[in-house]
Amino acid sequence: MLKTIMQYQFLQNAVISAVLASIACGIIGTIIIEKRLVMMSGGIAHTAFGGIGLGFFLGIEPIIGALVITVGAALGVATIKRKTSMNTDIPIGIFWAAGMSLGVLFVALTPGYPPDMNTYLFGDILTVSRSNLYIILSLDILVALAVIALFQHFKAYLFDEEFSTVMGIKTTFIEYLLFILIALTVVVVIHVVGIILIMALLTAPPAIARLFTHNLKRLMVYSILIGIFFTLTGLWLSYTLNIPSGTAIALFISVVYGAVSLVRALTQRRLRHNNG
Amino acid sequence: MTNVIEVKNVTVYYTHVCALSNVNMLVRDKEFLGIIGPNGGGKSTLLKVILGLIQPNSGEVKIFGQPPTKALGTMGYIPQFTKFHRDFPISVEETVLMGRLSGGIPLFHKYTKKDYEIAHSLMDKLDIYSLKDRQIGQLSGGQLQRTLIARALTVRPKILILDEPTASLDTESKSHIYEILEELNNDMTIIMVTHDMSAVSSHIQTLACLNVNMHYHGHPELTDELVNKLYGCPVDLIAHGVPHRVLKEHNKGGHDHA
Ligand SMILES: Nc1ncnc2c1ncn2[C@@H]1O[C@H](COP(=O)(O)OP(=O)(O)OP(=O)(O)O)[C@@H](O)[C@H]1O
Ligand SMILES: [Mg+2]
Repeated sequence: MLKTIMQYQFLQNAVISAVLASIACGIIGTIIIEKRLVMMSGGIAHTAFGGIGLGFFLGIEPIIGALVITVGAALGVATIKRKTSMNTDIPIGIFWAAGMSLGVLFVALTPGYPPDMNTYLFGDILTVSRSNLYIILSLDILVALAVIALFQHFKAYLFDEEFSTVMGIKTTFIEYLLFILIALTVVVVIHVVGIILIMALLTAPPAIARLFTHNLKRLMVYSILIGIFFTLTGLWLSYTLNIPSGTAIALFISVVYGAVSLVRALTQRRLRHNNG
Repeated sequence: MTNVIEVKNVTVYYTHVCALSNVNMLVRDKEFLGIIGPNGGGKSTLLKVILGLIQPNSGEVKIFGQPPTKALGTMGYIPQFTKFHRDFPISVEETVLMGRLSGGIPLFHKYTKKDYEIAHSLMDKLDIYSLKDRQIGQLSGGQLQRTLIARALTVRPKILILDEPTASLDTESKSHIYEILEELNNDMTIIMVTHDMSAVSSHIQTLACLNVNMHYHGHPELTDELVNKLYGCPVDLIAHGVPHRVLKEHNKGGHDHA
């Protein structure tokens, strides 16, 4: 495969975008797991579909449409979270449904031959273009830079908002920033695994990394490495078995995660057994 | 002496529940104020209003003559109930260091050597230095509480606000904490909510009794009458033989000025 990668531009793009996606997902995935924002991130991710539909409808680059709509949705969700004491799962569920439906609606309204939405739903890493790659790269840099530059304050906000507020840390700003970063990450990952499978790439690497460390920084680094391993192996599986790349990556993630959880459950049982 | 905290006619409603009604309170510089009152009396609410975490429905709070949101970073806080998740990937040392963070959003913040020194000396003082690399989920309740006290102290606050800080501590740690607080009181104003009547008698300088209204604020001497009014019935503390300074005889009461 290595030789083929050297030969074909599209395979190079695929490998690069897999690595870039894993970087953003490792960082943001760790954060949304620790801050219990998985459901909200799911809602934000699914509004991206509406944005893609809008992009087609307006005749602009769909990923730009997704970017605008997703960031808008993220700000909306952050505001709901801040302003109401109501269980946010409910508005998030509505966002989720509305985003998907709007996507379908816009595509239906778009004149001419309907575009293939499967690429965006399930991802197709093999169609990532050079220009897409640059978009992904710049968003990636933004996500990494924001989290690195504000790392200690992010950690304080994630851990204990109340205390951070009393310390004079701008928690509202950090929260909105975080939601924008989540939105950007979603857009970064759309081409790699697609909207449907984004949650797998966001949550599984940090969930596994958690078994090995109790340090936030290391958790992010391990998650990135695990993500790279997942996406590249998935890519290789997709190439050799000739199955769609997004599906290959997500299924591989699920299998590994299942296996790791099983091993962990068994070893813990044994430990308890031995001790007791 | 100057007033560091002024609470003027503060009323707080949670939707329909009135938690504080027209509360007035002045706290002087370097005062050690104890706040007592029954469950649901609004003690935690009053602290949160002072900290700027809750906006009062009416009335105002001034910290050093400014609204609380302008005084952020001058107060150290130990909440009654922590809202964080105990499985968060953070160590005892990192938690304590948090108190050294500066407000605002400075980029590429790094803790200095001095930050570490301050954190380590407080961890030493509170006997948690040996636990410094533990993830906070792996601490006992009392060890976690001492970690949070250390964190509030690393702020080096001008005002220290504690909401039932000794609730989960053993007797020895308790008296140890009170010793530390008394020492700290030389440099800072301390407000402490407590149900621990022995602490009230031996450590604090002024006492506030809060049950939605401020019933009393003054010397730590309580009359049966006041206790009755505050708690609705003669509470445990009488039966358990509270030290003399706290409970004065019926007729010699403190002056109600709330
Ligand atoms: N978040 C909230 N939402 C609605 N009502 C609240 C909330 N927090 C407190 N209350 C109500 O406000 C009143 C005062 O609560 P507060 O927590 O200030 O009491 P407290 O004096 O600290 O009590 P305790 O001794 O039990 O800690 C109570 O009647 C309580 O039911
Ligand atoms: Mg309370």
